[in-house]
Amino acid sequence: MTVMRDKVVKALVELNIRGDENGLMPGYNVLVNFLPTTFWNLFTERLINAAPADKKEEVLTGLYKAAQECGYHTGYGIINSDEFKSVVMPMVTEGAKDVLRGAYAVFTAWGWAKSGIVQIKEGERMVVRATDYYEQHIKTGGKSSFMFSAVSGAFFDLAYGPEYPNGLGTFIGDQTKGIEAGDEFGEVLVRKK
Amino acid sequence: MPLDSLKEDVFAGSISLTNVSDLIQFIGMSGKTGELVLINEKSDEEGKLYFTEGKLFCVLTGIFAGIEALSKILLWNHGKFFFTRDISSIVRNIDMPLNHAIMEAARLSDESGQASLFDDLDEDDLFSSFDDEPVKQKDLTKKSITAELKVIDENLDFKETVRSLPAGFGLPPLKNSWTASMKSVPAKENSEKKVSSSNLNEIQTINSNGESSLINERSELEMRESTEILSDLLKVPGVDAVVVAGRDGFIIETAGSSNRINVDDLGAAMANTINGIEEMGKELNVNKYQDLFIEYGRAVIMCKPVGDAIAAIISPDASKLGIIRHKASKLFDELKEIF
Repeated sequence: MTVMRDKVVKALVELNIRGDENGLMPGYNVLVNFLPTTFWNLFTERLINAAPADKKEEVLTGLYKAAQECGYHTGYGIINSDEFKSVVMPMVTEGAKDVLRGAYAVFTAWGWAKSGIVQIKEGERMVVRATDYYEQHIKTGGKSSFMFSAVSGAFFDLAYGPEYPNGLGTFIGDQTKGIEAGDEFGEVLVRKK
Repeated sequence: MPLDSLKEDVFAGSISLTNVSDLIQFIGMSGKTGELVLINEKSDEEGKLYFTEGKLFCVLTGIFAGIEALSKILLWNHGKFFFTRDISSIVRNIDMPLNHAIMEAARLSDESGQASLFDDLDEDDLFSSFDDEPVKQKDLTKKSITAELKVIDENLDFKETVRSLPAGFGLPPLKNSWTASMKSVPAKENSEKKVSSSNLNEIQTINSNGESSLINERSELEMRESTEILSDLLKVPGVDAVVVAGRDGFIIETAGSSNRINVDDLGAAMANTINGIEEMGKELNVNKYQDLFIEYGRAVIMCKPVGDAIAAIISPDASKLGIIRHKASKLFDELKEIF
């Protein structure tokens, strides 16, 4: 037995989670904001486009780091949430590898990215692919999926890095393909920093 | 039994003048009922094939029966045969058209690593046999030369050469989407490159000046992108679509199209089914599953584990299953290396 994406997706979409008066959705042990994805895409686009040429690299690194930190702490919350424990953990038989499979199934259920693991070498590297993700609509002309790549790296940190909260940045996610850059799908390669 | 003592209604001859597959195809096409006895003079074995109105009904040799027995008999090239009419078997151990049985037997002998029928036959002839045309009479000398050339080719096979490198060189990495991704990661990674036996991406080479150098991705010469392999699978006659899915049901790659099946649903169903089958294998203690065929009214699905993923081939019917299994086997092996 391993984690079955269809079962995770079916179980999670049935959970009744609503946003509160502050626009936050308490669920999965974290608070998820209630802002439309176009807001975040526009935010990224404007930041990148507004940066002068000599500061562009810094902005890109900043966006990656922000997403990485978000992914690390939010990811920790998710995999320790009651929802994850009740839906995903009973199917986990292959340790961290299955937890990661479960995490991408959760992302798919959220509509955040229809994503999954293509290849994994435990503790060393991983290739993740997404065929539909919100960052694919970013219009910067290049690969701009900071959340997809950084969160993938952060998840690998949680799975194979030093114990939380000391493992942040052990691994990095490099985006190798992106729908926003004209590829058929988005792809991230996670490897040791 | 001496040949000259046989009755007039017995058709007899020497195997070395023809080959077994041609002989049984001839009997099949003639629509005969009877018993074909073959005697392998080299090994002193006897094989019996029973036909009912041209349909191969039962095959026996030594301790083997059915397709397994046929796979042994097809490789015989010296000895005698005699066909006696109107003798039939009450046991049936072949339940497929004659040409498919030959293909299955050839595949079996090929997989078991014995000298293979495929060595002796042109692929075109094998395909043509699926269209119910007889395999052409081959020139035996040509066959033996072809077989010898194949052996030489195998010895020169670059893959084998690379695999035979000392352990320190490690197995080559694969030029697939994974390594393609690695290559697209810019120089920062290359700057950390170390001369290490554990670094699978490196190989030491000696150029024409005798200088030693390291190159990355030696596997480029031998490994292909997964999309290329999937395209090759699509070229196998009878294959409508190919799907590679993760163990969790995530669709990794697809090629071709099948209006019979929704690919996303197939990924999820495959993962669930394989999980169940693996559980069963574990409980029965019969090792990991190797193959899964499911025949439906409108489609046949063949699943095979490829590394950490599952590959599935969708075919409209089972008529070409033998050739699909044979032709796909090596391509699945390539996929295994990738996933």
